[in-house]
Amino acid sequence: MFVDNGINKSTDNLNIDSSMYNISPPTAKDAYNAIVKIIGEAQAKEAWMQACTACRLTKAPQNLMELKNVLQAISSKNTLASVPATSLLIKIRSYEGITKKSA
Amino acid sequence: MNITQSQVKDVIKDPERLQEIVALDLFSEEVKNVLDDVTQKAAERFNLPIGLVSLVLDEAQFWASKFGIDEGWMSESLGTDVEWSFCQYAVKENKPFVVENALENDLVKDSPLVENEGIRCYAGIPMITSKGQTIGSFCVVGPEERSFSEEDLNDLRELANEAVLRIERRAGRDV
Repeated sequence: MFVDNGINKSTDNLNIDSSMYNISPPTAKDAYNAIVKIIGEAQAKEAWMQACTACRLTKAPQNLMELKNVLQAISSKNTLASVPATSLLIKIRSYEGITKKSA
Repeated sequence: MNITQSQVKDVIKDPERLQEIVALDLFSEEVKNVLDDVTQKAAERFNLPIGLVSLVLDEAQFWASKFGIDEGWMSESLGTDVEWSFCQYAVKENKPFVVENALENDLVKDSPLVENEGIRCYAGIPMITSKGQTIGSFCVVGPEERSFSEEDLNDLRELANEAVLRIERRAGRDV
């Protein structure tokens, strides 16, 4: 349920002009798929669900803050899953940062 | 040799390469402490404002050490989207990547780091570990067009080697 329920929803209740560089911040689905690409479906699902539980989420992240918390939980462990999780956190922060600067 | 974006993605998403970053515990805050004087030395050697150890991850570049980026969003984010990065090309090609004028370089001219942050020159050396994995780029960056000589690149290579040595020794490798 952590993966399927709501994961397709955009988490972008963000103050970001995504048209600026033809980019958009990752959604929860983007984030999950990025982790799958690196560590495979089974391990990704386990890491994702553990992180959701650690963040006390009963369903998939519904907004950017929840997504960042889930990614932070995954990145805090020194495993291969921490690489895509750290990547995605940086990616989100860089979108937020450059957009704020341009505003 | 011309490289395509898909070739870049294949290399940067290679799980064995990414596993090396995990094996070296490179997200630890302690890593910064063993690298900061090397990135500072690089910036000073080239009289440029920025020296970086940029780890190229699957979706982003992560600055394990950043001399000269002390404020603003880049300081807080500790990196950028990998597609905006210059360092991805040093990793993909596994050889030095030099940009004398970013506005005239087709690979990077559309990057927000050029348009929005004013980066104009760049020289990066791939950081290759004793296991043969290229984990990132050791680079210097500046806001004005400039050229880099062979001697410059040799000096930058020495500093990159020093950074890799420190990273591996910190991780307990006998190198």
